[in-house]
Amino acid sequence: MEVKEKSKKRELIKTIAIIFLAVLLVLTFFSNTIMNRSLPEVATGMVSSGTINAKIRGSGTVSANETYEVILNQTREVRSVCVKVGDTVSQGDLLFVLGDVESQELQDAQNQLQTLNIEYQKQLLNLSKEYATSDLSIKTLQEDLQKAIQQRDANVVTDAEISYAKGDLATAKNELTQIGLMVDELNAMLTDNEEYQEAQAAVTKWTQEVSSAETAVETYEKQLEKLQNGGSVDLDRQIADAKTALEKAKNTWRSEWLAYKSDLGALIEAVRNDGYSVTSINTGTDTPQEISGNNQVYIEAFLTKYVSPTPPTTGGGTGGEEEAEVQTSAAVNSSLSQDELQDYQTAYDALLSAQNDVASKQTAYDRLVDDQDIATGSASEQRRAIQRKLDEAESELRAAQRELRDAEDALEEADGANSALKDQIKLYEAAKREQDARIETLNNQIATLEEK
Amino acid sequence: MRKNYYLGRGLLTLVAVFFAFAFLMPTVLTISNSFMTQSEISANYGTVFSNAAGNTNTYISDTVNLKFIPDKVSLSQYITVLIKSPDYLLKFWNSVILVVPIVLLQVGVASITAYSFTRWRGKLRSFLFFFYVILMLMPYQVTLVPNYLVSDWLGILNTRWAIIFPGMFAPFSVFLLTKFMRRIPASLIEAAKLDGSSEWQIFKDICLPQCRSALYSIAILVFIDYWNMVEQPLVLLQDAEKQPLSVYLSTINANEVGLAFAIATIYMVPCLLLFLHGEDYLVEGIAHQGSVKG
Repeated sequence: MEVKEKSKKRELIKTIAIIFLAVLLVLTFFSNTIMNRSLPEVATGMVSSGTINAKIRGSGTVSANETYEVILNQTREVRSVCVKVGDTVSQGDLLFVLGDVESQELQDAQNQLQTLNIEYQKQLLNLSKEYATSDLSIKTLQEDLQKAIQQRDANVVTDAEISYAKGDLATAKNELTQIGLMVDELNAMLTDNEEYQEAQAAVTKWTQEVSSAETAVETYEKQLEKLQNGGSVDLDRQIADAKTALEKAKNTWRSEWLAYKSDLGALIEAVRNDGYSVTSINTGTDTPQEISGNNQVYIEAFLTKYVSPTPPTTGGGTGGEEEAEVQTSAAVNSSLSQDELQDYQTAYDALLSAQNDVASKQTAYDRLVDDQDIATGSASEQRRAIQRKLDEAESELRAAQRELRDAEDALEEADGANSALKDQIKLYEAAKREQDARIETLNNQIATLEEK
Repeated sequence: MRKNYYLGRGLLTLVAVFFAFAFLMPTVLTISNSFMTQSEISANYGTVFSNAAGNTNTYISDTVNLKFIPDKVSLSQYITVLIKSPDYLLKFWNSVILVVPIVLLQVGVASITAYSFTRWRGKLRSFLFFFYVILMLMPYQVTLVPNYLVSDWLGILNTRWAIIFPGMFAPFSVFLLTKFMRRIPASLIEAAKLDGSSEWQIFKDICLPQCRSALYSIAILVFIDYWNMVEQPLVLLQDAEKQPLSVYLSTINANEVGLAFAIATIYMVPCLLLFLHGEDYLVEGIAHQGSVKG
């Protein structure tokens, strides 16, 4: 019955309406809950300080800020277009394919290529008995072929290529200057590496200590042996000898000092001006002043930097040549000439050797004087004393060796950094040379392009 | 003759189909575009809104593409409307809270008024009825300012009563119902009166059941009218949280076109359901307008 149908339909619609309203009511209350459940979980963190970036977000349609018109200097036919309106493109994408305009030169070169090819084939077929001459003619023809191909390739040249080449040249020159700056910076870093110099000073000091401790141990062991084999230690003569040697060394030092002290003073000044933190030495007095270990390091660094090595004697032959290749070029000091630097070098060397000589002789003499008391007393007492001294010397030696190892480790570390720097410098210099070569080729390219 | 007849019928059908398509197209567009992603919508309709906003930038396409079938069906717009935030749903409930009392109260008040118009035979009756008719013919904007002043004077300005009270006493339903109640034979009422029933009983037991179709049709029309009102809440309700969804839909901007489609689809549903429920009554009620008694 129609009425029943109608009421059924009405019932259905009533149900749908109630469901709809119920769903909306539920969603009104629980939409946020549902939303939160679908959010990703976040981690919490402690409060920390940072910078707040103010961001503004909006939405809109993106349009190009500027359009770039691709201008060709020649009329060429567009063979195909690879993108369509609305596409996103990125740098390097192919936009459209142009057809070649065949110039007359191109045609001529192609024709020439063909004829030469045919000739080459003919020559191949007509191999004469004189293989050498035919081979030579084949070779010349092949060369002609290559030349023709090159000409053809090279003829297809546009102004665009020239401008590209010029652009490349400019960028290459830029890069070259950058690399040059980098190399200079790294070189400066290399020479200023104070850590390295300090480590080196420590190593030298401890090596000396180790060697002196070793000699002390050796002497005591020998004395002990001598004692065991009988006989007492005769020190008096040794002390007298040591004393004379010491006096002699002191006199030499004094004379050297008087000769070179002004040079030393100027050298110290120059080294300080170069940025090293040398302590000053009183060059006004006549008594020789010691050059401290740190000063030695700085002075030596300064001298290696600026003094160009003297060329080896020509009598060395191949050996001398190898030496010359190994030496690196020295930097140029603006305020001092090479001669002055050479003088400073000699002065420093002389003073340093004299100083070291005195120091070693002094230690030897002191030790001998110390050991004089061993000469007195009975053999067993002597033996005991010498044994004691030997033990002391051995522990000193061990301590000195330990310190030497530490100093060597430190030096290695510093050297490691230094070597890294040196490697970098090498890389950069290689890059520089490459860049120079590249600039050369680019210049040549541009020249040939412009001729055409 | 036969050919003419079929030709005529065919032509008529064609015209009818054309008009049907023209009327249905916006609705179908809304529903199908509500399943599009925002990017597709701005690609297709970007020009419309951006040109309206005064932008002079050119867009990818200068024409508007009317797309009926989305390239990629996605429920992202619905998720934004229903789940992401309850704002839109709260506005929906605002609409419901405004409209349902209006409908119920208007139907109640109008039926009583109509009954009194049929039963009262005083001198002023025709004048009052004429007054009602004039009011019905006037557009709402004419009475907006007096409404505002009276609401302010009554102190109900920022509340929902500012909309419900004027809605309650609207003259349109009175007119319709009077017309309908006049069709009830007077003899029926006389008989009932003789049997000793009071006015209220006559009204409740005799008139109202007779007028059921009219009541239904009035309810539907009033519902649709007030479901779509925009200027009344804008003027009389100043709080943003009391605004109904129709107001929000009228203020969409270019960025939220997809969202507007989805909201409109959801907004359409109560009207559709109500109409489907009371379809027969509506047709009957309108058909009886001005038709022969009986």
